[in-house]
Amino acid sequence: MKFIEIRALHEWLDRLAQEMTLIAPTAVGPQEKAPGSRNPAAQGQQVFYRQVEGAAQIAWDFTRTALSAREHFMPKTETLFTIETGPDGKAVLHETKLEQPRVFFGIRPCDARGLRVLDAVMLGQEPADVYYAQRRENTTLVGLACPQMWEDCFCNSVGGAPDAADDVDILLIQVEGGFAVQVVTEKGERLATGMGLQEVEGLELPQPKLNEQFALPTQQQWLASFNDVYWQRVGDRCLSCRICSYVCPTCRCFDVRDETVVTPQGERIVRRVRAWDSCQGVNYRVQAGGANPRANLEQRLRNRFYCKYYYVPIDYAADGCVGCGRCVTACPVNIDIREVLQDLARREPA
Amino acid sequence: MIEDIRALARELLEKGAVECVIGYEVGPTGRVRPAFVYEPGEVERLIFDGRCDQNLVTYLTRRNKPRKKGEEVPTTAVVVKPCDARSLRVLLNEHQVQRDKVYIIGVACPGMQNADGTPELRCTRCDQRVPLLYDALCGEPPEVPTVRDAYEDVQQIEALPLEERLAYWLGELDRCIRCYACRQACPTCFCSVCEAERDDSLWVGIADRIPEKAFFHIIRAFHQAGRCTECNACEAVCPMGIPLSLINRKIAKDVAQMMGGYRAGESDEPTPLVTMLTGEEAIDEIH
Repeated sequence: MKFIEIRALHEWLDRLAQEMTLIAPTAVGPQEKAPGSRNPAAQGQQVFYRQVEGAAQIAWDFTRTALSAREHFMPKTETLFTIETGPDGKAVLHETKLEQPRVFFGIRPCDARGLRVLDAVMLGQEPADVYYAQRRENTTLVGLACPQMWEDCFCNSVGGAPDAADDVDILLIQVEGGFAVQVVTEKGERLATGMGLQEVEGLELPQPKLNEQFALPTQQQWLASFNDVYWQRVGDRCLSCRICSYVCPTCRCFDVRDETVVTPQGERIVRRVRAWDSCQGVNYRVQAGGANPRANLEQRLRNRFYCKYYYVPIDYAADGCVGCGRCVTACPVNIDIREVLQDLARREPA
Repeated sequence: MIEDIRALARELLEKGAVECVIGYEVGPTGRVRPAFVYEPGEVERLIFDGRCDQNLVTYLTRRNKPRKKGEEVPTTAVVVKPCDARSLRVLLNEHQVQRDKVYIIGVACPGMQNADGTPELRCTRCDQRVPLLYDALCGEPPEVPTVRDAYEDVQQIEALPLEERLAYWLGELDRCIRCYACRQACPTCFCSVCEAERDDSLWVGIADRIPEKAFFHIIRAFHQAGRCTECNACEAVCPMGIPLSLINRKIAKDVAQMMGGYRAGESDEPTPLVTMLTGEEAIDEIH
């Protein structure tokens, strides 16, 4: 088993940050807030995956980040291209330039697994989304296994594991004095050459503590429940905000618009902007003619669950939910996807 | 107190006076959340204690619309604390809720608590223990000293030099992800289409950049001027931990100073900052 000492790992990360973009979990925001608050986000600093300048900025004892890894592959906002007036008065189109090589250090196994869904949607059919494809190709994923499943996590109920190596290029598992290192892919192999790994015999890997597993609804149960009054009852307390979809590693809805902006130099240019969107927004399904087949809040809430557990598995042969638990923790009115899944799974098949 | 609330809820549901009672319950993982009780046999789900800090009035505007064209608006009972009652009064003043379609279960409020058992900050500066309006009052008014709000938190920010104040807010708003939870949790943010969400981007573009985010929050704050009852719902739901109520409290403080101590929701006069023509009273929006 390969092994790296903590100090050697830090030195390697410091070198990496000099050579390329290093993204890693890091604490953000003011330190003193309201430690006793009922709002977990207000209790203190939150951890995000962000670009860091070295190992010292990395949050090593984080549970899960406030936002998933998605924001680094499908940014909350990106400019796809701009149209400007050239010297001869003609319109010139500038495409967004390629992303530089980067290392995504400390990605949790569930977040890495979430990229399967994004891959299926953005790359699975021609034409592939070039912006997403560039970021995926240029990024090497160094996963950090969870020493245990955290509160609200349920990766083990949806086919994942806190120490799964399936979707990363390299996986690090914390052991006494350092990290056990599994090099998973060729991309990982190339990066690992610079790590200075040691070969250690008989290294014992810790067994992460798991949360209780539960059974998922069958496809028949999903089908039979579509028009059930159950969705109205869960929808009763839904606020119709977008927290669940914006913290989710597999939500990928976006909106695209052209904007006219004035540059600091006073030039008027057009930029085509892509930004996150959500099925929970009121205008999510409004058609060009004005009809809205998802006009009611509970229909949009229902869509989120069916998308993860019915539509994505059928349309893309991928698991739509990785059980990261972010939506459970962040929902201000305690709409708990685990509760919904178990409620449906208890039903008699039609 | 909880037995009073349950007995009243059972009675209202049994005699068909209301379709639903909105209160609080403990979810399967121990978290307190809004509860919607339709059957008299289910009133045992209801609880009330210092964890019930959500403002349930926010659910009334959507329940005050007919579900289908021509259908009658159902009557809903709702558990309200003194702060929530102020929100409800704003909605009544602005014709968003019909008084005869809501049954107000007022609770004498002991003050809400943080997760660690300490009193919530907003409750330490609250001067009301009994709601200003209710159909029935549950619980005895607790002997908790009331305090007039001195807006110390707002004064601290006001005292900062302009550049520092700007840096503070840009730093906070940078984390905003435009999830709109603040707006959705706010009882007095009830537009059917928000200026920030229009398909034509007339006021705010879709980008999640500082100008768009700041613009959304500034517009929301101005639209709350003289209407925000400082219930803290916006801040309590923010997944990024942004101190949003500070913005609204700043405006509430200014409104009180400029408008002879006016506090939203304390009288049945609409805010002096809003002019409504008779024909537009219900703000029946068309987009």
